[in-house]
Amino acid sequence: MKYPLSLTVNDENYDVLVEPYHTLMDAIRDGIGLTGTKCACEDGRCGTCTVLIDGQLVKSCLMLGLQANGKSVTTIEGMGSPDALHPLQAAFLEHGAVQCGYCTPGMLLTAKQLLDENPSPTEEDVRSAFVGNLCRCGVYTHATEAILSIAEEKEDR
Amino acid sequence: MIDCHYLEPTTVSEACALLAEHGDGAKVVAGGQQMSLLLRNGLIQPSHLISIQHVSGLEDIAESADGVTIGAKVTLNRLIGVDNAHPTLRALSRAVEDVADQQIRNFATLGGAICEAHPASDINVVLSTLNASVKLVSASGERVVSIDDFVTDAFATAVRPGELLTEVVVPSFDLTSAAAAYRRFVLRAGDYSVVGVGTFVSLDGAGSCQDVRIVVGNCSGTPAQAQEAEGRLKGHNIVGNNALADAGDLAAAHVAPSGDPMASSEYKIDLVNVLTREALAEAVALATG
Amino acid sequence: MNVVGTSAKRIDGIEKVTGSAEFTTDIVLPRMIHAKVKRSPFAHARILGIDTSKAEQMPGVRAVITAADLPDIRLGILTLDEHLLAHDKTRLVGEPVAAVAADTPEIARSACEQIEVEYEELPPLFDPEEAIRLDPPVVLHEEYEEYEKLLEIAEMDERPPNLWQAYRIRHGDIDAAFKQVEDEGGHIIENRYATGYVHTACMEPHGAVAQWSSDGTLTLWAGGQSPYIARDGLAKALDLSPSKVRVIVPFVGGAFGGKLTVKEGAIAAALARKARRPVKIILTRAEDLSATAARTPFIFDIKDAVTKEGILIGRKVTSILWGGGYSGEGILKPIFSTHLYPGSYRLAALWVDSYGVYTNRVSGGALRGYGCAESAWAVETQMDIIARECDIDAVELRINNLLTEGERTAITMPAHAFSAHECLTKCADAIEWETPSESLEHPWYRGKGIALGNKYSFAPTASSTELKVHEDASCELRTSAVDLGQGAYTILTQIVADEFGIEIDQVKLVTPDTAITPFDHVAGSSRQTFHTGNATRMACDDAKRQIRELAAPKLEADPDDLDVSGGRIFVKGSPERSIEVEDLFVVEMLAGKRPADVEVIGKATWEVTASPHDPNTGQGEEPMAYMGHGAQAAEVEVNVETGQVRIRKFVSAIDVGKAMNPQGVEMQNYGGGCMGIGIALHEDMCFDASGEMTNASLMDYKIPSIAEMPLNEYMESIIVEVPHQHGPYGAKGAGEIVVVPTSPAIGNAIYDAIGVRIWDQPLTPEKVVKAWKEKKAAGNGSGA
Repeated sequence: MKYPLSLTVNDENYDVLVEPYHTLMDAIRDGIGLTGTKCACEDGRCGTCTVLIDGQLVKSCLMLGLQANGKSVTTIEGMGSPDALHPLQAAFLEHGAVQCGYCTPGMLLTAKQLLDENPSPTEEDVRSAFVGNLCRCGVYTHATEAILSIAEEKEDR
Repeated sequence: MIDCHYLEPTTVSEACALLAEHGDGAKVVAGGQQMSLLLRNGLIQPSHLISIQHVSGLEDIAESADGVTIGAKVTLNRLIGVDNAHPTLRALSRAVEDVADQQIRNFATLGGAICEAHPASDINVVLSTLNASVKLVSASGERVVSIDDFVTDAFATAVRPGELLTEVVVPSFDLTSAAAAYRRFVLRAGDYSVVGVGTFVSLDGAGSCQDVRIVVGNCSGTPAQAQEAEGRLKGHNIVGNNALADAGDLAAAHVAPSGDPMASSEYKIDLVNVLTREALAEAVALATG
Repeated sequence: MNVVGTSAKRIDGIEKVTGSAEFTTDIVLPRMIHAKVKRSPFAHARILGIDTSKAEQMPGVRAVITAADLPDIRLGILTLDEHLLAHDKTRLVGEPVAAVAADTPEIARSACEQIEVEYEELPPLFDPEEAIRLDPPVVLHEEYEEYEKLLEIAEMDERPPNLWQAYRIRHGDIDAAFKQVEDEGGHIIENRYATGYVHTACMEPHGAVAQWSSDGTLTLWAGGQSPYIARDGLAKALDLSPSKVRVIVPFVGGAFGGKLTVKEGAIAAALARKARRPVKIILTRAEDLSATAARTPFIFDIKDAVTKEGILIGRKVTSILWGGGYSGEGILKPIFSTHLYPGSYRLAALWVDSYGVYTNRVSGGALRGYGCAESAWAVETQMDIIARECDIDAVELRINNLLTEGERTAITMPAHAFSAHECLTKCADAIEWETPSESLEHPWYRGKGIALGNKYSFAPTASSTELKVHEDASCELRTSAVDLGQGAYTILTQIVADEFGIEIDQVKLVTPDTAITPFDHVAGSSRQTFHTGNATRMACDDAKRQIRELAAPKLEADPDDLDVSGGRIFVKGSPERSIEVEDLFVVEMLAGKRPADVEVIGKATWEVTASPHDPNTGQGEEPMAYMGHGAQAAEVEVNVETGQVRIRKFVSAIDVGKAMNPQGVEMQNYGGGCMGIGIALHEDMCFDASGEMTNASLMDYKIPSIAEMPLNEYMESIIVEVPHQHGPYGAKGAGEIVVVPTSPAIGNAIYDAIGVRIWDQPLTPEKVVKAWKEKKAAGNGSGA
């Protein structure tokens, strides 16, 4: 049976109905219609569906929608807009860390959380943080460069 | 498709009552890190999901003279670095650093990880190495079961209908003369271990092994104790000689893992040898350190 | 030239980083329902009956289809051997047998479970060497002779009944070459190599959305590599005129060769027609990995005749492509893989027998480097072995055997813009080839390896583009070239901006839609920069010609004396005599501006012809559009106890003729390197005894994570630019060469580190341990 689910996504409130077996990813994509959060592996490995929930990173396919009831979610759509890109979004473009773009939303949220928690990560920190985000185009080298460039900018200031 | 109900008790007793009421059709959801996929992909179709998200009192880590008690809802990420406050948990804390990835560790609970009873579980191997036990609560009472008795087979546990795992107890040991370590091998960072080996050694001042425990993971359905290897060490001086290498050989000689697509039985046996020796060396170094 | 050659940011980047890029998986249409496919659990079985009645009666089920609902038409790339839904037999686990469209994916999945299929199990055939026998234990396609075939295979006295491809090369006197080497005491080096089962494993799974209009027109949204191949495939499968099919390509979440055809799209279309509703189909990851085309293995037997001085004078190769239940997109691989047997080397004599066979496994398809990445594994490992045998440095040995500009290879491909030497030496310098790796403490060992690669781009082929010029002097490029992530849209935009002397943001790209954009062959074979790039340049020229002709009367000048740049048309040599592009438009009441005369729409088709090669000799005229070169080197660290191989340092040096977008080339170098590392070390589709894939998940099929990559300071991208006479601005493609030398470079580095060869990909830790133990047992394991 369907249950009401209340979510704050990117500072907007949504009320949708979900089945208990629907994941947070299903609620975000199909219930709310924010499709920037992607689905790729269906076994929780790839990290493409990564979002932030109350400031913590989660693979949204690995949490039931109802577990997130009443919580605040940040998806890629809430990270920045075309007119006002988040510095990481700009850095990913600048450093060539975007190819097909399918894993990009999850990568960016992982990067955001990393820098929010640790403004000057080392390369090893970046590598540990990204273990849960797979990319078939192989943007890892450039993504690392992009993230470290922002950390450096902050240090320069 | 079966209609599925979602229930959110707020106390352990309420949760237990619901579990008792709904019997086999009920499944507990803690962090959801495993359950959500099984549900979404239609691999399980329970009639009732009992979410313990709002059950209070399952998130504490407390230490007494007997050991450290960890609430079932403590997340894996909280266990990273927990050895600063609770040195008994050093091996567990280090092992958890490499379990899955940060997204999963953020929400995966210790209780959930134990109950999944994945044959490649690092956590259950470490807990077995540390002689840990779990507390199971039901409407009719509670019982304490060792990890070794709790994990009965791959993906199978001794949990009875109506029971909820509420806490894990890791017994204390003399940190000045004993230590535990865990070594694992993965084919790719973030994946399940091909093989993992946990070791616990207690030494006297002369380097003689007073107590030892060697537990091998992912070579059978459950964490498996390497008794022959333990026998080679217990009561013997194991510092500065071949003892650890012998133990590795013995541990390897007495496992009979089934091969899987990722690793043949023969290769797993090779890894048991290497990892046993390395985990023993680390534990010995810590215990004598 | 001010835009081409710069690292312009990708034009589709903003959408991708903000989550607004719409992929096939994101498309939602009114009244849309969801499809799931019922698949065969058997590798080989006869279908005796299908009962769909239970599924049809389930609430929420809108349509169920089986082969009986489809035209009885066999499909395929060149040998038409496959029905969209299994007709009488299934020939691999996972073959589609029926399909359901329902209100939700869950209902469709449940309904598939309710479809009852009665099978008669047949013995399966998995071993390619059994399959190729004249008297195989099992024949997969009893009616093979009746199939329509669009390609001639080599003549044989008797065709082995499971054979679908045979190709021969007979160049020079092979017997004389071996005799010469025997007589003079040179080296005969013979080895067997095998490649693994590899999947594209794109992050976006295969999928499509199908919708029919009331006039009988089908519109299909599918993230494939070629809207025209998709369109024609759909038309064929559903027995429609191609003009009744419109294919729109949204953003594509990776393809790498795996999205050439849209079989699942045709299933969705058939369901949509029956349900009279739009139907969306998205394959599960397990379906995607186990039931869509893979890079299936090759077995190579190579025998080389090498003089004492280390000159390769003769090569004999027998290869078998381990095909699956159907010939599929792998049909040309036994031919195209031969490109690398000469590769970049001079070969007086080359003798090749190359085959493709049916087995009851997943069908063979394309994956970045179509055949070349596979044969490079054998050839470039072989070169390393030859170098060691001759006691000549592996780089020097390769250089000694290289062709020179203007020569032809043993398969008659001209060595033009021949940059192998430069790629190799720059790569060697970057990895400090002359300096041996440092010694580490046991059980770790370090070593370096290098390999050369070569990738053709196929012909015949064609690309068309249209270029419309607007009144604000902005340009609109209409192309069916697809951006799969490789950056094609950005490069084509750069070309237009460059040709018109305008800014990149003044160029709008109309993305592939067969109702609007003209023919382009395919986003494959490293062909978009080269072919679509040429077509784009030509369309720009055509549009500028039209503008000059329209402007000539206004400027009282001959069209040939005019030039167009920066939104202005001016007289060459007298830039003050000019008008604006806008002046070619007039104000129309109620309508804003319209062209004063005719709309300026440049059109062009770039075409490369090729003469078909004789399948019995492999000889002919120029067989391919161009060939690109590259070299890669790796320094590895090997743990002989666990078998773990870490790539410490990786260098990729590729020749792109002209780096249209240097950052884009770097992205190919790093990204291709990443995929190449995965293929070399980790990736392996595994099957059980019934023929079912046992690791069909991204957990178990191990594409690399960030941790498998070298640290950034040890990743090096080198761009070599030796212009090709026919490339736009001299450019050649970069998309595939970057995975061609990777595996042998790594394998050679492992040998350098621990002195063992592993002959079959991937070079897993388990194989490393096994090889090391064998070496120790053989008594020469005192050290690496």
